[in-house]
Amino acid sequence: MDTNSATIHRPSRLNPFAFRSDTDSSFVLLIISVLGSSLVFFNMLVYYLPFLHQQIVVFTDCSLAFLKVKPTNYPDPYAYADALAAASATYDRCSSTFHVILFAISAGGIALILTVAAGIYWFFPMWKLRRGKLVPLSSEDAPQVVDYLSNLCHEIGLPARPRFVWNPLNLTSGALAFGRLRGYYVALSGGLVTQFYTDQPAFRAIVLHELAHLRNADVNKTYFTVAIWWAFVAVVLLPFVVIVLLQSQIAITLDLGLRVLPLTALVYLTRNAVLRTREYYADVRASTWDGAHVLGRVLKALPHNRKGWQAMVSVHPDPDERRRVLDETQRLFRLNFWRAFGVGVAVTIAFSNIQELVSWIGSLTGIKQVDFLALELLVPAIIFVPVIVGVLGLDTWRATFAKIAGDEAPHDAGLLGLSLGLGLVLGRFLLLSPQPLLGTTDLRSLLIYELPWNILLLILLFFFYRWIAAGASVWLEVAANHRSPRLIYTSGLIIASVILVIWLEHLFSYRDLSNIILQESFSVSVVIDNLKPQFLEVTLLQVSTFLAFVCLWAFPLAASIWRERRATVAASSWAFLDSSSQSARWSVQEPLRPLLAMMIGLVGGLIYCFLLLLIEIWRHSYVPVAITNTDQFHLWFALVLLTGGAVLQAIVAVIVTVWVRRLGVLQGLFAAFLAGCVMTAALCITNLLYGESLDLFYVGSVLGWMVNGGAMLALLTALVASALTGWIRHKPLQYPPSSCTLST
Amino acid sequence: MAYSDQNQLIADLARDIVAQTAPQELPLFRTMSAAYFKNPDKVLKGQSGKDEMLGFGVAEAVVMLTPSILAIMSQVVQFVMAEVQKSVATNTADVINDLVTRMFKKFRPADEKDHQNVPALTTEQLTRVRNLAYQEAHKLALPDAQAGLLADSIVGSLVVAPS
Repeated sequence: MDTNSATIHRPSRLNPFAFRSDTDSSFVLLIISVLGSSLVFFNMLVYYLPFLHQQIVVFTDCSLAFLKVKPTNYPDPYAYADALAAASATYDRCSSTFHVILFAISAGGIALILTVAAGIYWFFPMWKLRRGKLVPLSSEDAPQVVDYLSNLCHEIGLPARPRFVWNPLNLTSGALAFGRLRGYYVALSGGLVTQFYTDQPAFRAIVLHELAHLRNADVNKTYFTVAIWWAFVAVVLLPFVVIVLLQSQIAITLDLGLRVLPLTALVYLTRNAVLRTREYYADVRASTWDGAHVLGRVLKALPHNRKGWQAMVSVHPDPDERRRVLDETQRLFRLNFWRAFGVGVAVTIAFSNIQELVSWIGSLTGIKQVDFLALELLVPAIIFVPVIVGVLGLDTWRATFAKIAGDEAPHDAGLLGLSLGLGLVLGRFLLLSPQPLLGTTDLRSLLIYELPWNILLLILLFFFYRWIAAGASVWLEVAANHRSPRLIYTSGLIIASVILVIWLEHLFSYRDLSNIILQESFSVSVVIDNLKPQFLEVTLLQVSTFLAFVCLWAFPLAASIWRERRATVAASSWAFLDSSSQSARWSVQEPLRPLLAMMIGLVGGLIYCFLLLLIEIWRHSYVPVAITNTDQFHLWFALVLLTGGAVLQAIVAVIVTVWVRRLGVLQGLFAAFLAGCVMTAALCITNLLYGESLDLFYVGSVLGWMVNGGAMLALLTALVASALTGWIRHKPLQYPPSSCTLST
Repeated sequence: MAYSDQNQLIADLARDIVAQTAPQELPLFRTMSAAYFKNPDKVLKGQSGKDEMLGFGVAEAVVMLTPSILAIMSQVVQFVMAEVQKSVATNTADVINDLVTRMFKKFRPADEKDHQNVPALTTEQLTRVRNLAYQEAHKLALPDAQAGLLADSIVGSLVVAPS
């Protein structure tokens, strides 16, 4: 690690509230997962409704047009693409009625789930009051307690005072926060109220924990998530089980069961894991009001959780772990690879279902693409990527913060990306379906056809999360001098979301396209032939690709503008929980070298200009006009110029990567980008000089091929160079024993 | 003695004992005594904590004296009633009720003149009351010291016959 350390004032505990809670996004993810999963059932439901039988027969016949379109039947990929488009249009017309029905059932079903969930959420507090035999805690019962609680709420500055209720017959010493929007309750047990008189500090600690749940805004999120889950069970799961059992189709029942059970378990376990995390936060919040000593004592008195699966279904962590977290809040900043895996599985299932819904809407409206980006991939990506980045990207920022603050051993954020990727890949097993549904896949596709794309996905996510960590490490140093890091990390996560949306859209688009081709012709060359035009004429020329590459280096390097302005690293008020005069260490890392990267990039660009000038002189002086005027020459000449430019950009990126010790790859990309821009300008100017036309399409195309193509090559080579450089720099020097003698 | 009157008497007496031995439980007394007379076993059995969402954690039950005091006091009142029935000629419920009530200091007339008319337990009977309370407390798994304290408090609440 290329860091040195500066001694500064450091209070004792890291502040987990400096960052938005990562569990907020988990709650959103759970809700989306449940809704997404519901779509599978509504979709399946259609096949069991007797009055839709005729529609299904017609719909099945609609897909026959597709079966006739095989890549080997067409002379080139363009003809194949045209035939596919024509078949697609025929399919859309034919299946429009069926899609309207599917859409109506799905939309109606989702609306029903949300309505039922809203009802459950709204009436849940009443049910809780009734079931728990909870009555208002009045001055008549315990005047001192009522006064004390009122003062406590005032003391901690709770914005909305809850209603305190109790069950005198509950002899345990516990409490509970529940309620709904603008109607919160804190339930006290009879045992706890007696504790007010026997051990008031313990009583205070427990009540503060519950008030912390309110302060942390846990109640609405928790109970709405629970409401959504029960609505799913009531509206989807139970009716579907009944219908399937009535149909007596054991194979389908088993198939669905095998997919529903893991999904149900995943949602349930994830929910409980999220709830356990909220308990840590409530403990820490309570400790900021009243210190950790008494709370620690009360937690010590709690019985230990059971081990094994019972610990996984528990909604409270083990008391010992809670005590540890109270003292060492950095434990809340650790990366959780299992959670990343779970997020991947949940997102895959929900993604596929939303994709299907959007494809129906696309078939009905005829709107399927925006700027050559497939809407059926773009829309679910826009929905889910912010959630993925919100959960795991924020985790990465937090872990990086803990690492910089020196309180936590560094974790490789790349492994988090790998875990997510594995979840995304393996989640597709749960989508195996006997029905010919869009978005589902078979085992052969999953294991063989998708293998290269899955490997690419894993690599992409590995480096993506490392990139997030790199950006976080730079920007957190800037944030150290701000009142809060919130604006900075929110901006970072938005940018990360944009990049991942673009990448995933492209990757899934290639995966689906190659799947379609491979279903018809199991030939790699056919696949490559068909994907090549897509890559060269669509992906490389898209503004979104350009944007993704620019964001990749622009976000981390922009920090250097602010970073240079500060002279010293100061302890941030937001970084630590308790104000203290203890000294602390905040890792100060190598400075960025954007100016050096810029210089190397410009030099690379100028070298290209010089070479281009020589080539043009050679072309116009020595090559016969008869040759230069041929299409073949034009094609090869353009190819040489563009490939040469990309190679030169890659060389520039490698030089910067090796030279610069920090964020070498990203600074290398920046240099390559500058070089690519200079090369594009040179090509356009040369064109003008030789009297050829120059329009926006030409400039856009050259820019796309030169800058985006160069960036791709530069990224690959810079990563390899970075790995080699890192290996050489960290390789221990070994001397033969004889050389270890001192010479005089 | 009517059932409700008897329960009222037990509750009144038990409340005094709770106030002496476990004053922190007084806020719960009203609800707990009502629940006890409805279903004594359920209240005596107690309940364990649950792992509830946004709760504090799975808490163990706090040992409360109130249910035990209510149970012991029920036994004591039954005993005193039986003793009174043996010692008086009449079987009229109102008379017995009145006598039993007046055997407890809490309901003892303030006027000194009336003291001679107040029935009282002999020392031997008081010893039996103490034993009864002590054994009942043991049955309810109260520790020795607490059982002794409760038994003494209950005996102390009774009127003693002049020797």
